[in-house]
Amino acid sequence: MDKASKPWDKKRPFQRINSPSFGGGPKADGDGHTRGCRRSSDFLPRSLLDEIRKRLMVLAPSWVRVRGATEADSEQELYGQLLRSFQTWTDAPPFQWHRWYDWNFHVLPEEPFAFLSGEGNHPVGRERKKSEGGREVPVRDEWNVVRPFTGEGSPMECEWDTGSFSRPQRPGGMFQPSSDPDHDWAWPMTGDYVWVRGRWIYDGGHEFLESGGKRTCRSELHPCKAVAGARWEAFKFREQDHYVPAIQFMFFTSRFGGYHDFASLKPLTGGDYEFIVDLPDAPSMAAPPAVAIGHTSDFPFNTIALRPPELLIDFNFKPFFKTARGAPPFASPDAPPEDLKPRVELLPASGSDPRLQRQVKITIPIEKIAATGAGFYGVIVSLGWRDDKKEQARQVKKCTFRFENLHKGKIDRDTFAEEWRLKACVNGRWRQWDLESVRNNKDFDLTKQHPGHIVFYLHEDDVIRISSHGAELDLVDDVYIDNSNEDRTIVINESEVVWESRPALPRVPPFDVGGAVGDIVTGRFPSEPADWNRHIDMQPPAIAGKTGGPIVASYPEQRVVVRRIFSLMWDTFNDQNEPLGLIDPGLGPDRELPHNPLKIKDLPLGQKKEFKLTAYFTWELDDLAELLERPHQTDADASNEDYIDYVLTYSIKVEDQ
Amino acid sequence: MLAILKLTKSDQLAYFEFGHPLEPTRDAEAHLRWVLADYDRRRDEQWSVPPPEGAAILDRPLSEAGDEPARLLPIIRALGWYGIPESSPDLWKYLLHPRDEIKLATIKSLGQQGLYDSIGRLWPLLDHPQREFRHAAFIALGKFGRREVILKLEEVAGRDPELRFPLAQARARIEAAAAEDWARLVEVVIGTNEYEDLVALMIFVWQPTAAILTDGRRPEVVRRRAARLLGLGRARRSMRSLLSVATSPTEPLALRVEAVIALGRLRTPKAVDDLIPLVRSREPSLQEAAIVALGQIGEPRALGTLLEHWDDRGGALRESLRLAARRLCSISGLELLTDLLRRRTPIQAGAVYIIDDRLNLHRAYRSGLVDAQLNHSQLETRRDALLLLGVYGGRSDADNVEKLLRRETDESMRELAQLILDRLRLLPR
Repeated sequence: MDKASKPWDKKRPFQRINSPSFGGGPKADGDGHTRGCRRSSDFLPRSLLDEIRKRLMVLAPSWVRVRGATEADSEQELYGQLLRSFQTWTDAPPFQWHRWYDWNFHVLPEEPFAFLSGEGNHPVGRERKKSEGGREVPVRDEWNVVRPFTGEGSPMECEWDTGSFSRPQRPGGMFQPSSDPDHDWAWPMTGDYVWVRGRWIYDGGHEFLESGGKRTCRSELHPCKAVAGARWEAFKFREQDHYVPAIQFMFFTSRFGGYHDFASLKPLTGGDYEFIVDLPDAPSMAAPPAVAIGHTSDFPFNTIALRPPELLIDFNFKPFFKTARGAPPFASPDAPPEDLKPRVELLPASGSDPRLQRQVKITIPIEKIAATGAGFYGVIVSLGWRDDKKEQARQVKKCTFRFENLHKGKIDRDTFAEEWRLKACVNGRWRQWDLESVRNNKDFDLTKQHPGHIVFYLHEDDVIRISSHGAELDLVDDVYIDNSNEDRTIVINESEVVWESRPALPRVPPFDVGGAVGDIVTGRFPSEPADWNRHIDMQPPAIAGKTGGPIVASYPEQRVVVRRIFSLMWDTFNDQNEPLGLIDPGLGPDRELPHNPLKIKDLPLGQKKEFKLTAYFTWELDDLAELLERPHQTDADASNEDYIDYVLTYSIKVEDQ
Repeated sequence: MLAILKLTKSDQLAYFEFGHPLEPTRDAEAHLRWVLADYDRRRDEQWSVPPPEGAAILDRPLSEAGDEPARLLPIIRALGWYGIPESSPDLWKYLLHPRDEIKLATIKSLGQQGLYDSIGRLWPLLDHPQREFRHAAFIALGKFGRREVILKLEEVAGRDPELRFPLAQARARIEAAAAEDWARLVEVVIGTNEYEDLVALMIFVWQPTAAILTDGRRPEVVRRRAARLLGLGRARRSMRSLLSVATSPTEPLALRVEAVIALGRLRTPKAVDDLIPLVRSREPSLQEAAIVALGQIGEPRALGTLLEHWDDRGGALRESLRLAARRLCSISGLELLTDLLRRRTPIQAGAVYIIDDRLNLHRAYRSGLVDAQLNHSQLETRRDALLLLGVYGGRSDADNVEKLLRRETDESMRELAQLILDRLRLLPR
């Protein structure tokens, strides 16, 4: 992989160039604790109840910078393929540091970015595979959902609080409202290549005990600051009255990240964002001219000019103006100032045929955009070729798609009647459903909440790709739904900090505690919202030392926050949502692979067809936030009713445009 | 009189109480003050306010109580049961209260709260000349989960044979807590008189408690305790266990009833579908518990089932059915209809159920049903009657409303009557 160029590649149709993170090693060593992540043993228990409260110490803080002392040290970029892409099933803590659930991009980084994925990022379950009959199968009846876990490299999670950058806060800007089936952020899905910029951190919430006794934390980009992706679709440019094959490059950046907001959209490493994007092949220019040419006296024309293929470009800012949070970069999505539009430069042809494998360089003028004080910037850049003769348009098909039904299997999660939130996507268009009274072997008509069809156009060689995931909802969800942001805000009072600063209980009778003589009179000081940097991610990290006996490696402020979190989570503690099974293109059972991804060329024109995709039981491994799922590659496993979580039915009609 | 209006465009229910609320509306503080007013009878109800919030609220009545024992005692006991350690400093001074019952209650509460700083304050009491103080401090010190105190407890028990059994309990409890072995802690405590302490720890002991509940080999009394603890501690993740016991005909009746009561305390709408069949139970105690539980959960879809049983057992269930039905209503009919009338929004009348003061259930509105209330001396009664008339009445009722308008002196009533008159006059004859 080259820093400043890329070969044309249908499967990897874009790349960030001149990234400051390119080849930026050395690898993160995974030691999040030294960087400031806390453990339960860092707490100072002062009561029996504290023996459980201390478990929450991992939240204060759970996310710390991998390197350096400034934010500039922590902004990094990652480029790679998405092994999974989903909105997480649960999140903690559900207070001011989370406005809604994170989007999780599980990225397998390309080699120059692999250093970002640290020593603690090995996927759990790798060792559980064995070779059998020439192919690898899991030893136990479980798979890690982040596959291939026997492959080279280690995946990395990039998390972004969807509530932080979306308006409204829920369910997330990428989701279609039922009233707007055309809403489309082209949000990256499993299998896509993706570029992400974000805060490089260790996640101490899920510390992993290595075989040698060393503890490591996963490194992540969290929160993200910007994301880019690309998909092959057909598009109707304003210069044409028909759809032509196109590439759609999506770029989105936001100042808002959840627990950490960025001061500006501007990258702290400076410079604009540059990408190379591959283009579809241009129409043929080899057809003979329709008129005869020759000497003027004998022919009406003596000259014709062969026009080079004309690149058509469209910038669509509307979907982001509709549902992204914060000040827009300009007043109207229909009238972007020229200097704030992406700059598109057609690169010279590299091969002998100037029609084929062409590329553009797209520059996002982020410095100028940031100077507007914008809270977000998002655009879908569509690129295709002028096709007056409809040479290519004839190969474009209209796809009319809808999610029709969900059938729940017979796996009991929590209660007799469950409450589900399902999210599903076709080619980057996401929808969400809230389903109540979800019982075993019951069907749910998904068209009740989303009656509209999703209509899009594809080249006949392209495919329909479908993803789904979701959550069985428990009490933690109520914290978000039933409380305003203000109600979910943890406050801290200096009096509590003073009280928390008292010495620990001596270990010998008569157990007199100096300083523990009074009440916690919070009225002496005003309460204020706990601040991430002042009260939680306190740097440098507390050093373990003897303070009247126990080893304490936390600050009083951090412990006060932990106690507050516990109080607010009293009703919901230990009652996290549970994940639903995932459906992703190419990751289903062998027998369903023809239906996802679905080659539209194989479908009869004009006929509505229905297909079923199965999601398999998925669960969280201990407290590691690693997802495991039942195996389902073979027909025997795929048919095992004990493994089936739900079956999703979709309909598709393909027609000539 | 109570009228329940089923809204056509949502699942919600609106209520009209005609100026006579079946139960007062209380915020958390008012609720806790109500509990404190008759603590021995109502103490379980303190758990409908979660401990962190409840303990903070109790600070106010505590500071108002001064040294008055009758007011102090229930507050100290309630704070102890909540088990929030940060409340302990508020209680330390009552170790010096002149009245023994206050001092003893404080000792117990400090043990329940388990703030380590209190150990030094309880420690000297192990050598107190009065037996009940020594014993109270002994039991309290066994609750902190600190091994450092065991030697001293052994020494004290060596001088006092009555403390041998409490010593064994204290030792086991300390060891379980110090090892953070919560399952063992439940095993040790649930069979003792101190088993209620587990409510405050329920968020991390609910699993072993639920396991005890469903273990048919256990003594029934222990299983009943487990059900009670799960309900009081609102351990909603134990719903499956509670439902399995509550709905199993082979389980002892008293245990099933306790499980149903606990399910009501959980207030989880997910349990409603499985509780509804229990309203049809032939066992009166189970049937009544299910009615109360459905009311506590407050899920409107239970209304039909509740009203089906209006005449069961010769009408003996009517009062509890009425209260449960009222609890399913989340919207004030007054606010809803007044708003609609003022905005001149077309009102689509849904189903209405009216329960009169003689506990007769009317499943539809009929002319004349609320006429007497229109002349009632109480404003709220007249107003609710007028609203029902406005929604369900016909053109012929306009005269009645006009008469009321002529004699009515209250401005808000006059405005309402005029709005309703306008609406009725637009109806076809």
